[in-house]
Amino acid sequence: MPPDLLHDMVAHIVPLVPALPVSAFVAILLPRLFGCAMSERYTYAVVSVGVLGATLFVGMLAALLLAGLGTPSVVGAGRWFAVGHDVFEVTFGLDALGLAYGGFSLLMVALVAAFSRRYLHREQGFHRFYALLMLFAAGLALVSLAGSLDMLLIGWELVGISSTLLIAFFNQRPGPVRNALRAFVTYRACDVGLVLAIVCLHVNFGDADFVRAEGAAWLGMPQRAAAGLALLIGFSLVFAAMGKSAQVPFSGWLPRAMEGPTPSSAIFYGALSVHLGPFLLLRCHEQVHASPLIGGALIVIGLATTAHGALVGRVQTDIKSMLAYGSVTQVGLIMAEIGLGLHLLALLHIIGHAGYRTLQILRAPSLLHDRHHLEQMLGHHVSHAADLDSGSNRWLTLPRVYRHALERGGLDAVLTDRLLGTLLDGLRRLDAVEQRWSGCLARRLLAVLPRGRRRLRAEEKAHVS
Amino acid sequence: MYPDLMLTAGITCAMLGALLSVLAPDRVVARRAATGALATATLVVGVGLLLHLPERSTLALTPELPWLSARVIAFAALGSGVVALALSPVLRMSRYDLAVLCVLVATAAAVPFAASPWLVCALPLVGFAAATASLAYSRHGCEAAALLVFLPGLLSVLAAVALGLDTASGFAAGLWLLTLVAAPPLHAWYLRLAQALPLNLFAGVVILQASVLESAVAAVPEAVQANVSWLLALAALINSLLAVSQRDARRAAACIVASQLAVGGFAEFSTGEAAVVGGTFVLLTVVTASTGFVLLLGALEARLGTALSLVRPQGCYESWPRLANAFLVLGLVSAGLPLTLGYVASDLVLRGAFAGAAVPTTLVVVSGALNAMTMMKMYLYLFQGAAGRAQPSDLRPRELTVTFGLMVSAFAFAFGLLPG
Amino acid sequence: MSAATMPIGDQPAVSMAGTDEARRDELVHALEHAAHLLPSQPPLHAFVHHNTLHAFEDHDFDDALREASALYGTEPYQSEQAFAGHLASGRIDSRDIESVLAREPGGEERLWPGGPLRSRLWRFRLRHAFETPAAETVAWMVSEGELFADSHAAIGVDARAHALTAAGSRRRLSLALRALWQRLAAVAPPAAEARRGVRVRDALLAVSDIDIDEWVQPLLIRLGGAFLDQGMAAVGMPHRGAGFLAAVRALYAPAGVVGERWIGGLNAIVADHARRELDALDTIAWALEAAAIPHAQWPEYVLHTLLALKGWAGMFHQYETHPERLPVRPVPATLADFLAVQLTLETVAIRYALARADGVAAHGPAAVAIAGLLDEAADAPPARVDLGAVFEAFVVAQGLGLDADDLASDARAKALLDAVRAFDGLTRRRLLHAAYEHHYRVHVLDSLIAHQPHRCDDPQAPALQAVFCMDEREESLRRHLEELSPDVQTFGYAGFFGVAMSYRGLDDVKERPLCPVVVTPRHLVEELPLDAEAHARYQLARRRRGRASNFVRTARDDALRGSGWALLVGTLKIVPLIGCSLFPRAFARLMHRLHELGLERPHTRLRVEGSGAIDPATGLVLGYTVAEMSDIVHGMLSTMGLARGFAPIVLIVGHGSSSLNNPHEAAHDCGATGGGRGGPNARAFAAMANHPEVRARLAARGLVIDERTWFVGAYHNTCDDAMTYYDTDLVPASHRSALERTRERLAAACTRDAHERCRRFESAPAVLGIDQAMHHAEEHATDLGQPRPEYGHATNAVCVIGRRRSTLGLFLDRRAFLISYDPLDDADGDKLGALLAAAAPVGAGISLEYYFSYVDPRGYGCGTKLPHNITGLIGVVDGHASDLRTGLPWQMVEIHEPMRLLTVVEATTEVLEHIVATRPGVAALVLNRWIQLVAVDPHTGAVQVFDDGRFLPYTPHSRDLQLVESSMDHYAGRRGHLPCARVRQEVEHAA
Repeated sequence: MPPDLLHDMVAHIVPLVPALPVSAFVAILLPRLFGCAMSERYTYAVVSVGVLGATLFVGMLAALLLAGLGTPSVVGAGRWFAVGHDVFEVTFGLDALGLAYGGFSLLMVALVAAFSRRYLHREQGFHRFYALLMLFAAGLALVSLAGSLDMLLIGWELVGISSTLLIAFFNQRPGPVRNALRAFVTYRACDVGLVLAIVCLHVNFGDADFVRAEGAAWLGMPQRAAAGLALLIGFSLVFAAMGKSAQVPFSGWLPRAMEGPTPSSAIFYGALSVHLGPFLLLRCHEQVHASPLIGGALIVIGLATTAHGALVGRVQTDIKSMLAYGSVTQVGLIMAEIGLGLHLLALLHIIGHAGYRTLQILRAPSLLHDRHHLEQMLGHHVSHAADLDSGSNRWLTLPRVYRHALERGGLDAVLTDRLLGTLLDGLRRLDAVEQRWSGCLARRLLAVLPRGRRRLRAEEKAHVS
Repeated sequence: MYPDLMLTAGITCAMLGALLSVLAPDRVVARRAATGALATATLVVGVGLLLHLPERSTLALTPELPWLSARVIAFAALGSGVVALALSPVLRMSRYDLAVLCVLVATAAAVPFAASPWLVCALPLVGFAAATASLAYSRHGCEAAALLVFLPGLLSVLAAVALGLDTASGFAAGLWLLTLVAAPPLHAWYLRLAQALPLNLFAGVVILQASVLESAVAAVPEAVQANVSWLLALAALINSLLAVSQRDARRAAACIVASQLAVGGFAEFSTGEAAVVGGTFVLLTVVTASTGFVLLLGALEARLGTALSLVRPQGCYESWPRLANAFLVLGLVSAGLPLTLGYVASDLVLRGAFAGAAVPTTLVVVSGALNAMTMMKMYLYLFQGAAGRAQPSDLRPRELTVTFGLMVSAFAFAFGLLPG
Repeated sequence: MSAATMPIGDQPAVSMAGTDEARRDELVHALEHAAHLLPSQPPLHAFVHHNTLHAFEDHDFDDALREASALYGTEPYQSEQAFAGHLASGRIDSRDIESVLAREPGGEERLWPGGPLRSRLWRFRLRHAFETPAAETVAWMVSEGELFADSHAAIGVDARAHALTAAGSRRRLSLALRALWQRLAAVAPPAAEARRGVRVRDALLAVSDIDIDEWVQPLLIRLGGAFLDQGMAAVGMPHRGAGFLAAVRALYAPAGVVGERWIGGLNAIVADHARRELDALDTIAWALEAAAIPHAQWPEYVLHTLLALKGWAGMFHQYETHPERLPVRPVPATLADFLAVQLTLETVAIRYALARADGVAAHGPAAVAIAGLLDEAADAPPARVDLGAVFEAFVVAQGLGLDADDLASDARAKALLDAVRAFDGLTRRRLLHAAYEHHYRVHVLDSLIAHQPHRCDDPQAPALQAVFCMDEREESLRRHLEELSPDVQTFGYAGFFGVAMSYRGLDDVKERPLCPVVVTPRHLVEELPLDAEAHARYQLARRRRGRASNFVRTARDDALRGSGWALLVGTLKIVPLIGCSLFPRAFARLMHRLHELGLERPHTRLRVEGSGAIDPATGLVLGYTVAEMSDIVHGMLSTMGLARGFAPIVLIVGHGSSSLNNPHEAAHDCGATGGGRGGPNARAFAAMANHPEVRARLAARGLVIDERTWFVGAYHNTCDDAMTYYDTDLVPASHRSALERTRERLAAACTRDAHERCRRFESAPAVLGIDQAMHHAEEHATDLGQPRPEYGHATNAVCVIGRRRSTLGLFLDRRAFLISYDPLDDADGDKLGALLAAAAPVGAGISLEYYFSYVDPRGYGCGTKLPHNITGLIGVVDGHASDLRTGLPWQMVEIHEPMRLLTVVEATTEVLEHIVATRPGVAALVLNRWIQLVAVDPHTGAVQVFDDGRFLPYTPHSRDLQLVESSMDHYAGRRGHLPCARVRQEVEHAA
């Protein structure tokens, strides 16, 4: 198979991987926009074509990569818009990391889609769930097969939006809606880091594409920046990864994100959406290791998150919060592994953790059944927490420590209520002052005109009565 | 001169619409007349634009073709004018309001082609005067009307005179532009206008602001441009912060639009070539997506009959699912959702402006993120959060077709028509 | 709310040395009254169906629904759209509407002299349901001019065409409609005042848009969840032994831990209260004084505060009153402690809100003086016009063919408006519900009457007799068993078969009561292995596997071990994920086989007979004495009318259910065993009945059991239709072949039962082969992704108490509880009285629980299962943190038809009136119309319906009853509810 023939074949296949889920998304929503309600079978058929097609193509690409090409490469697929020398190239990157994570993600999405076929049967939001799941699959495909940071940002934001709208799936209660907004605010605040990193790269080096350094197994971004700029880019990327992967101090949204249906919580916060942060850092490992400061900061953040997750997780009394903090703990460890440079270990850890956490969350509603069965096997009650004088973890039962853990480390209190709350209250006070002075200024101005005076008197009379 | 003939015909047609709507016997006929006039105007300018377009493939939208971007803005302004008419409730929109809207849109289409900077400052005065007149007659808007006349009107005259006499014209033009864009602390008039004016007239004012900004570069002298762009970036951030903290939906929408206009202005004034084109795109997004999002807010308020509060989620999705989905799509397009016009605009602005002015561009990035948060908060809090039952008042067919047309145009600009 | 200024932040005047006795008694009484109105659902594993509105059982059914709807803010009946659907589908027909309207008083008056009859207006409103939009949306429809473009769709196509031709042109029609609207809008009534909340929180919300519940409830839910936790958290809440208030005080005494701004004041208050040793009642009194609530309104304030989080408050009350029903260990929770903590947090929040509201210009009029909080909220909002009522009158006028000049005078317009407002939504839904029940009642009674001539008496020498639970899911199994082999006689009785015991199985850690909820068991029955050494080996293997899986469970959530687990095994976990997503049944069978590998369960016996010794651990009597055993056996057999003609094999079949992914698994189990599985009860009864001494005593009491007869205990799993037989090794050699034939008959009947059940699952093809039915049923029971393992009691509607003769061969679509009772040898009716006293509350409890969870899944039920999040091993919350959700999930009730239980008793009206007069439990249900009672005279077959206090003779509407060859012909390929039908009996085939 001559390399160039192989190259065009790959060039034609790759865009199909994200295109199929997006077309499935459109195919589900378009008929509903014009009022004809489609059956569940139609939606499931469209979804299975979209996801299975994408998984198949990723499998083919992986096979091609292993057999034929052998070398990871960047494939261009045209350009989206160009103004003078600033061009947005649509490029895809094929390497072990991207195909492994992309293939694994699409497989998990396919499995959860099959699982949800029965789980969401006759549910009011059935079609909306699958449309957002397809948007999520497209976002994942774009992130894992992106050829440049710009393409990665597109997939990154699609994942953020579909995650937010799935948290607010049960839109008849204020709880899920409020928690969806909290998740979106965290995503969007941390995306500022990714946008700044991209802009810095474009302005200083003309593009933000991934290239294959010789000898490197994975595609990456050559480290070309001077010391100061490298620090800025590195920390921006770490900041972006911290938001999406719920690292301290931004981990308040993850347990709240469990408002959606169980399958969506499993696939998002057990398996894939939480691991996008580490994937980004694996993709830009040169930037992370540009200076020891960045790597060190990553290790500190990872270990702090692990400690926070472990401490708070031991005190939670509902199954989904416990599993959420289990995820936070493991992702913290993965971040520390990346900080230490153990990239392959981190990738295996991501796939392993995603594997078992998804099944654990899917199995959460069967907890009573499993716990009863386990206690019968053990012959005694599993729960030691029920003992009023729980022996182990003496230090955790100190009031101050227990309260700190029950309040989830005070992150919500400090970050949302104290910092954001005071900022918003200050702005509202500013706004109220402005309303007051502009009101009296307008009144004094109007008093100058004769007609205005009559109108003012009429208004006072109406207000008093 | 062939295309200019088409353009003048378009603008006169829009003015004719205003005249017809005042003379018409009752509101329904007036509305049909105004919509017809504006639609023909849009068609005429559109044909003029297509006739004049060189073959698409070689087109690289470079700043050397100012008349092309101006023409596109005019076409978009007239198109959005049609949308503003279609989305307003029939009876609540008096004949005079219809006339005011037509005048606003006509001046918005005319401003990009003003020959001299003096004319650029003076022409918006006509639009603002029409908006003030409609406010003065409506019962509750008296103090806002007074404020309106005082600030932008006075400053426009000041700038026009200064430019004419060429003395201290930089300061006057800068002050005029900052007021026009409602940069805090000069934003009081804009928020009061948003609360008092019917939202489709407010959309007309937004269209006028966008088209004035498009051609404001010529009006503001060179020396002042660097400082003005810095101030505009700062205005964008403060307005976004104000928008996040608002409890009333109308004031939040006004702050978002002001912030986006400031970003557009900042891009126009920056040095980078891509940024200037990006600026045009931002203003295009404001004219299409942001006005659409404001109009849908008006449609929701008309259905609920009460002021829209953002304190806690109280919306009911089942009552009007199509209205909710249209609001979400238009909101995300104006907030820069990937694969849409908003994203293309913000990407170009950032790439173009960062080289010259790194810090203001960072402010613009943060303000873009804050606007997206406010947009999502408005969607989630106004359309979700409470159980309810299906109301027989979802988007009417006429409203749906027009909104759908708006969405397609936002996506079409992003993908097809302009970029090579 | 009487006006009372609220002191801002300073200490209330009353001395806190301890409120005086009168206040404390008042609070205790208020708490008891409030507790009575809270949900009374126990922890999930002991879920029992009960009447959700048990607190209102002393009121009439319709009045109770109205009061509860006002108190809880819930729906009393199905929505009008649902009833419109029933009208369209024929589930309610005009005869039902007429019969209901005939009973409503005031139908014959005219609205005004010469005007339309009131009943004509009622008939139009009932038959043409239309949506009344909110007032503001009506204003928008008027401004859009839509309302006058054409007459309203609800009045029917022909009426609209008629109106158009009458008006001449469309323009003139819209002018006429506009004039009609103006006429009615001129006399528009003022808008009804929005219901004002009682709590300070409601007043603060109305005035300053600050909702302190958004601050207090998340914290209270976290604290309550941590306190009631039965073993989810690795670390329990410290100091739980001292009660909830003390534990919370211990947590919040130390200052300096960073928290939200509003909670800043809590440390000082908690420290002060701890110093003064205020107990729960004192704290409540302190909080109510601080909020300046007048003493007269304390009970109402306490009730509404508790109703704000009624799920958690109800669970605290359950911990307090029923500690024995907790899964692991009792916790000293009291409702007073919960209320004390809630009111303390609310006081802190109110004080912070006051301070903040003064600082920032509150939304709405600038800086309202918050001090006058309570009276500020109390004064009436500006009067608005009720456009909704005008809209309703506008559509009704069009329906009745009235136009502007018919309503020329204001008086007429006012009369129409008042008549429309009087016939409000609640009244309409009450009448439509009555018609909904009337339709089904008429159909069932007509079928029973039409079936009477075809009743054939019981087989003389039955080859097999089987006693099932009264559960309506067993109706189809009994019917298929009788169709397959006519020489089988089946009976129905309460699922615990009279054996009220506390049972500990071989593997159980803790004994659990297996008897109706109203009974507290005094006897303990244990399952003991025959061969101790085999049991030891089996126990050792299970303990080893238990410890291994427990190690994995704790490892997964631990930080370091978890990452090791992820790296080693995580990727392999994709295989079980693929298994449970794509091939659930095959995967579940594989896992079961792997699990049972090398673990053969030793043979066991129930230790049923005991000498009366007391078990030291539980204080219960070990086993039953012979006298007690013979009373139990005699009680059931005589009540069921099985006193002679015993078959060689008598099968006693308990039932239960097992399913995955179903926190409410216990809700599918047997209600008569208090949410447990009836297998052990059946096994115990069989052991008792086979006991030689018991048989001797029974013979002495005149009940001679043929010595050839052998009782066999069995267990039927209603989820995958599997049968399990107990102690088959004890069956004498002579009966082995009979037992084998019994197994085959039951297996065939179970397959057909599964086939009939699968028609209700939309996931199964409509026309399903017999052999795939079992496959599909098993898949539903073992599928992790299946939120509908079985439909349980959904579609229950009828309870027939009498001889099987009256329903033998009648297809009842799995909707009838069947209780065997022989009226002939119970002249005075005391057996029937005991039966009704036990069975009526169980049947009514199941029927009403399904009624309320279907009618209002948000208010009474616990909504859809998808976001459910199990908390503390005791209940489910929605998603992240919400109130504890009680009631049934939507997936369990979605095919239910909400109706009161139609109880048909084969007894004379005198006997029934005597029972109602002497048994208070039955009287409350019958006289207050919580169930529908029908008497069928055992001798003449005359049917009489109990209606407002007395029995009225019932005349059937139609005599024809569909005849089908077999049940399968009747239901094959059809998914919805099916009419009754007569299945041609084998005997007739032979004849």
